[in-house]
Amino acid sequence: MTASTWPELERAAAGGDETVRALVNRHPMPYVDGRRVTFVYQGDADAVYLQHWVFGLSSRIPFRRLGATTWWQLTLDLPLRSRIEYKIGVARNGEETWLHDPLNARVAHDPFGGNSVVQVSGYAEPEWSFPLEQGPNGTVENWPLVSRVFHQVRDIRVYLPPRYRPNRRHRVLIVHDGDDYMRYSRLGAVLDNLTVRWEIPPLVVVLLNPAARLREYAADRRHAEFVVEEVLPAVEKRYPVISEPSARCLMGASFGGVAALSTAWYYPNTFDMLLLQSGSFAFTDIGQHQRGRVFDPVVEFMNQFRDQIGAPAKKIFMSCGVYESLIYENRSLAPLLQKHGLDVKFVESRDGHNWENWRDRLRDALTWLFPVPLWFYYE
Amino acid sequence: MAVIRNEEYDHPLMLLGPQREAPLVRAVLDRWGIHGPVGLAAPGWEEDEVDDGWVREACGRPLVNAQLYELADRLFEEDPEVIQLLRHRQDELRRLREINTIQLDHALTVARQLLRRQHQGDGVARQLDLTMEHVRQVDLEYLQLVREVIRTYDKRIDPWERPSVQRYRQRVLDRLQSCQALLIAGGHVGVLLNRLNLSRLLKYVHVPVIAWSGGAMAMAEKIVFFHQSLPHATGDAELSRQGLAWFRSLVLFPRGDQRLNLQDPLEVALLARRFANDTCLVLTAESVLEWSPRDLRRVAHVRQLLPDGSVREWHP
Repeated sequence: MTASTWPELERAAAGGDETVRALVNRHPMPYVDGRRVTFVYQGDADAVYLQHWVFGLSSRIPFRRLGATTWWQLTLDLPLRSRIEYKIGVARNGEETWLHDPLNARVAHDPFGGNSVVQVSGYAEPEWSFPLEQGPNGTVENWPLVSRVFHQVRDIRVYLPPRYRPNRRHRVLIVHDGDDYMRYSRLGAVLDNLTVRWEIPPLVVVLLNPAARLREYAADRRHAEFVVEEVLPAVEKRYPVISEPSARCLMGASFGGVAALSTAWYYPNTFDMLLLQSGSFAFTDIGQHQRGRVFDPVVEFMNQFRDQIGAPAKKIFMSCGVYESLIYENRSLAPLLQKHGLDVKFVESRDGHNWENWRDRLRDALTWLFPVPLWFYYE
Repeated sequence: MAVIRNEEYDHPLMLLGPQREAPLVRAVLDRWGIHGPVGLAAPGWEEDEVDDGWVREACGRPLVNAQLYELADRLFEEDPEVIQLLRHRQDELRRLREINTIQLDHALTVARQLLRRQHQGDGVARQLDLTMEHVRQVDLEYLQLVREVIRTYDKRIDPWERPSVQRYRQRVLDRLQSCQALLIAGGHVGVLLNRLNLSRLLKYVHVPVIAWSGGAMAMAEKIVFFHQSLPHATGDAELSRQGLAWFRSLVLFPRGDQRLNLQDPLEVALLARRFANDTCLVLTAESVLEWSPRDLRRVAHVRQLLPDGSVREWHP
């Protein structure tokens, strides 16, 4: 894992702080040379660590001080095409602080604030995920929905695509954690790009946001009822959508994946398509699970589901990062679904449990679930 | 290789790449001194045909939408037999296409394997030539079968004499009466060709034509469908059918910089050799080809696929 160092940096260290700074200023940081990645930090510290979320590695890897300088470095050998999120842990006077890497402007945002990102050679941020500079862009409408199930008013947000036409019937994609997908996975830009390129048909996309995520998304029957008995009829009343299972897809990541799968399972023959990203599909074959109490209802549901799969949908796209702890559960679920005759595409990536990983898989997922005869389109 | 302009058509023709992102239409119209209203044929956009705001903005002149798609729907309501015949024709073409795919699949697999072994000597080169000749023969026979099916149905639809089709044509022509040029947009190339053939529009509109992307493909003699960059690629390029044949010996690949794997010399060589009797050209957003009316006057930012797997600027 740790690799031979960056020789130029070692040599610069002999010249002192300013020589190292001059070298570092000449290169984007972290310094990536094929598989070899060098992280650098400068500052007073008792110790410096790389804090990351790659499952299977020690989550804290120590930096080494560069000679008598105030610079610290760590060189790792990382797989090509990887994308890794990290923070730098700085220990000083018995206290430790986690920082974004001050030398790296690349930050992935998430509801917890975000992480610095290193892209190993071969990885490229997909061009179809950037906002279209000159449009056309989809629009988002907001409206309140009085929920009998939850005894409260919920804000529903609906993305209407660039080629939206009220006199045409559209297919529907219901997205769990919709606002987070829009904010952190650039879902709006992805949909705009794919629609404008005719890679997917224009979709009406419903963005759901939970009030109590870890409860509602943990295979809660009330959530399923809310989606099927309240949201879906309201959407069908307001928008020209096709009211058939073959035109409906549920989507979610992490606990949102559990919410999507469980909703489809509680209401069979309602959704033909599912898009499940890094689903928190924890289960136990024997004994107790080790994932904490919030997972109790998830494990209960997954055990039940794996025992009696039935037909929650016909076509399921699943993705998971190989650096996630959930890779085992996802790898195990895909063949099980296939064995029961479901059409499943399972994709792995060299990435972790994060929104940019989920963003990077969206084109693959959406074009597979919503194919259009692109063969004939030349726009 | 000579690029042959069909003598049947004697008005200027301009071909462009994709236009939505950075349109060149206005510059071309200016260069040709066309300042008056222009017509737009965009049936390839199907129900989105009326969403022409960006073209209006891009061409900077009054624009008249020919409404070929919408008016065809009206024709089908008036005379349902026409759409029934078109659907039957589509079914027959689909069956031919399935057989053609089976025939080509194996031959192209062999061609790829031989291309990888080219360096092993003359024996391989000879086998590769034979294989490519076989592929071209399959393409040729497929094209003839397609042409036969279309001819048979054309006779039954009888677009010259059928009153409903004549009314359709007249409605379209009425709309385009004052236009000084006709723009032909892309979209679904099959639908575009169907509506252009059904209306026989281009036999009646004697003005310069500016066609882009799928519209440019439709003006060619050979139309090749292709896409190598989708996560779920749809397979080998496919010779589809005959276009309007305003020119011969050019096969166009609009947005080829995105849809083709130009970095892979093997795939480039395979396409160039398969269509060795033609010149294979990639059209990007910057590309321009202009005939006036017989001479190819201007070629800019057009790249050619070559049999050695390279891609170079085209200088005819």
